[in-house]
Formats: sequence, C-alpha cells, structure tokens
Amino acid sequence: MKADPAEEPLVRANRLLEESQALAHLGGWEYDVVEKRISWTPETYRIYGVGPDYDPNNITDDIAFYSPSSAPIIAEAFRKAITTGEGYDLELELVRPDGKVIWIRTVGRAFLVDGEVVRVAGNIMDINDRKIAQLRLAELNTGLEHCVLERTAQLESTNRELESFAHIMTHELKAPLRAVAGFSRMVAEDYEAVLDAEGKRRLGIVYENAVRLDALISELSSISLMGRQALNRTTIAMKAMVRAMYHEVASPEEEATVVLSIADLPDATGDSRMIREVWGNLLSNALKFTGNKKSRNIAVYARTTDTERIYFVRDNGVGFDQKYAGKLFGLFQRLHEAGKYSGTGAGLAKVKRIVELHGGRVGAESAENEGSVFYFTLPTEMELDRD
Amino acid sequence: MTDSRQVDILLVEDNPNDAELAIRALRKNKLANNLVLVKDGEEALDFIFAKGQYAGRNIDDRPKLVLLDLKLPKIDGLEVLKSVKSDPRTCLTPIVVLTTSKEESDVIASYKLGANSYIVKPVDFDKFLEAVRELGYYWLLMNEHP
Repeated sequence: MKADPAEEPLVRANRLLEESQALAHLGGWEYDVVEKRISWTPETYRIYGVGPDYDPNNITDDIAFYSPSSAPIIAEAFRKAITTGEGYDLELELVRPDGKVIWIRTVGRAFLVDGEVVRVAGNIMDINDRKIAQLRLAELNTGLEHCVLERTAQLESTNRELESFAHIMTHELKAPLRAVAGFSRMVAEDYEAVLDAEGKRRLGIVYENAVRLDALISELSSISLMGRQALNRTTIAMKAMVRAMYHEVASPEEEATVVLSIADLPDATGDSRMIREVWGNLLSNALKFTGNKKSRNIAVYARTTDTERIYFVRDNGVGFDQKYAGKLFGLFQRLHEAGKYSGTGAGLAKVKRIVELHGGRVGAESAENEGSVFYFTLPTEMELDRD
Repeated sequence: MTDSRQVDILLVEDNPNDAELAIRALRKNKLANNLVLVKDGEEALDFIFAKGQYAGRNIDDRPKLVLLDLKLPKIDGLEVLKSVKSDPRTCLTPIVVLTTSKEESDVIASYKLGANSYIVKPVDFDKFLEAVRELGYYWLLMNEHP
C-alpha cells in the first residue's frame, strides 16, 4: 500500500497499529470498568471469528466463545482482574462460530486509580500453530520416552537371557569336559603298563586340551558376565596392590631375578577385585614376554592429569609390531603363535573390559624386540562425581 | 548296598561320570570306605531322613559327610541343603557342596542355607584330587563327629 502524504498522523498511527496487529494475529481489547464498556480492535473480531457487527459488550456472550474447559478459567481470571486488580496471562481454547477450535493466549492487565480498578485491558493472540506444534512435540516426547522404556526393558530381558545362557553354557559344557579330562587321566594311570610312549603322549594331548578348553570356557563366561553387577568402588592403595599381585603372579625364580621397580603410584577409586585382575594380567604379560631375555626389567609408574590417572607397565621383553597394537586387546587375539606363550588370549580383553567399565582407557606401545609399555587410565574422583 | 549304618560319605551326584571321578578321587585319598551314592535330590532326602526306600534306616546314623551336587533331578541341591539344615535332627550333618565354578551365585546361596564348605569340580583332575583330599581329611578325620 502506498503511503498517502496527506494522511493525519493519528489516523496513520492507527492504521499502522491495525496492520501490525493483523500481521501478528494479535488483537487488543479493553474494558472500561466505570462505563462498563468493552471495545475490541478489528483483529480481535477476526480471532473470535465474528464480523464487525458483533457486540462484545455482553461479557457472558464473550466468555461463551471459550471451550467448556477454558471458559471457567477466563471467567475467574477476568472477575479477579476487575475486583482485585490482579493480571493474568493464559493459554486457552476458543471455539469459533464456525466450530473451529483454536488456541489463544490472552493477557489482561488492570489499571487502578486511587486503589480502584478503572480499566482492564489486554490482548489476545492466535497461537494455534505454535500450540499445536508444542502439543505434538509433547506427544512425541511421551511416545519417545515410552519407546525408550520399552527398548530398555527389551535389552534388560536380553541381558538376563544372555546371563542365564552363559551360566548354562558353562555348566553344560564343563560336565562332558570333566569326563574327557578325568577319564583320559584314568586311562593313563590304570593302563600305564600297556600304553607305549606314543600312546601316552597322545593321551596327554587329549588331557591338556580338555584343560585348556576348560580355561577358555571360564574366561569367556567371566568376560560375558562382567559388568552385570555394579562396581564395588573403594579407594585402592595401588602401590601395595601392585606389589601383592606381582608376588602372586611371579614364580620364586622370577622374583629373585627380574628387576622390578615400582614408582610411587597414586591411589585410585575402583572395584578392587577387578583392578587386581588388571594388574595381574599386565604383570604376568610383562613376565611372560621378558621370559627369554638375559636381564629382565619391569617398571611400574604413573602420571596424573586433571581428569585421570594413567598407570604404566613397561618391560624390556619381545615387544610387538606397533601396527598390531589395535588387535592386542581383542578377545583371543594373539600376536605370537599358539604354544609359544601360555595363556588363553583373553587376558587383555578382560583388562580392557574392566578398565572401560571404570570409565577409563587402555593402550599399548612397542617396537619389536625393544619391549613394550601397557597403560590404563582411571578417572579421578572429581571426574567420577561429575557423572 | 553298603552297610548303611556305617556310612562315612553320602555322595549326591546324578552324572555317573562325575560320580565315578569323585569316587576315584576319594578312593585315592583312602576316603571312600562306606560310601553311598544317590542320584537325585529325592533319594538324598529319603536317605538322610530315613524314609521311602530307606525307611529301615535309623535317622540318627548320620553320614559323617554329605557331598552334594547342586544340579540334581527332581529336587535340586539347594532344596536338599535347606531341608537338611533346617531340621534339628539333621542340621549338624556336614554338607560340602559340589559346584561347577566358584564364580557362581550358587556358592553364596549355599552358604546362606548353611553349607559347611564347597568344592569346585575342576576339569583338571589333579586339582580335584587335591580339593577332595583337603576337605575329606578335614571333615572326616579332623572334625570330631557330634
């Protein structure tokens, strides 16, 4: 619309107000308490869905436009505004004469002179699109929550099934294995006189493999069950634990010949039974892989950052090719041919699982024949509190 | 059947291979005299409480030791344990539970129900021998029977 230079400033201001109200779907109204007169701006008529011939002066008629649930609310709010001067800001449902229900926001404010309410004015805004979107969003959220709960329940039940599967598997597989091992031992003992050396050797292989399979089943079931119970976190005196675990995994000869240095290690918070396993695995690996060195050195030390403590076990053993570092912590991954070093191939996988359950990381660095460094991190107490 | 008045050990084990291995381990440790083998929980309770096919037994002739497998047909081991340990006539009978793995919650449940000890049935027969020797000596020889 082209501006008319001759237009009076007041008329112009009125026109602008009306135009912007129409654009914003925002209507204005006022109630003159003294004169008992109600006036609406044109946009208010449009929001109510009535023509300019509608007379808004009957408050009861005006309130009848609201839905059965909204009508008492606006009636009470309006009554309070007139009598006490209290304002309101409400989101309500309005039913237009054509039957269409829309959401509106209505704000009322009372104006007082000498403590008496003389005028109540406010506006009414068509918020139908926003409100519908908001309600839809709430609906979706509820649906989503429901869906998450449902999926969680499904996962929990799958977990329980897995747990009982691991339990049954261990039980059922071990019984025949006991028979294989036990009866091959019986044959070896009771028929010693009739078996030649080769027969005994082969029977020995049967027995050893049964025992090995037994160890594998135990490892598998313990890894699969790990993390099912909550961690039993306590403060762990790390240096004492390392010393105790070394004593446990090292043979008397190793204790006499291997040079072990344990630096001051910061205490940590964790499940002590599990962290013992971590040290046991790392230390016995270090012993295993320095086995063929003339001088065997193992060093345990630590570093602390703002968020975590990093514990290292360094050895001067055979090491590994750094390009296989990623495979080290995988289940049953071996970088050396079977038989060269003992173990089930589950030790480092277990270490990784335990450390990750504690919110930490594991890693290893090495160059072949130059030894290796294995490390794991545990979050500091401050980090733990943050979670 | 062994003279049931002089029973040293009641072995409750349904798996015949496991039973044979256990008896061998006991025999090697010279602990298998007067052993009775029963193959399910019901028979175990019949024997201990002198009822059913063991109705002629005197309930006061308690076995010196019960070796009890937990996974049993009819009535499982934990049920047997509960019945024996909660009855004043039999509660003093030492019961050693046989389990497949020490990680199992069964061990905790067994102790809660009054088991005196447990043996993990290892695949490694030498370890089994060792475990049977220690427990057998303790419960049969060291412990003065009440």
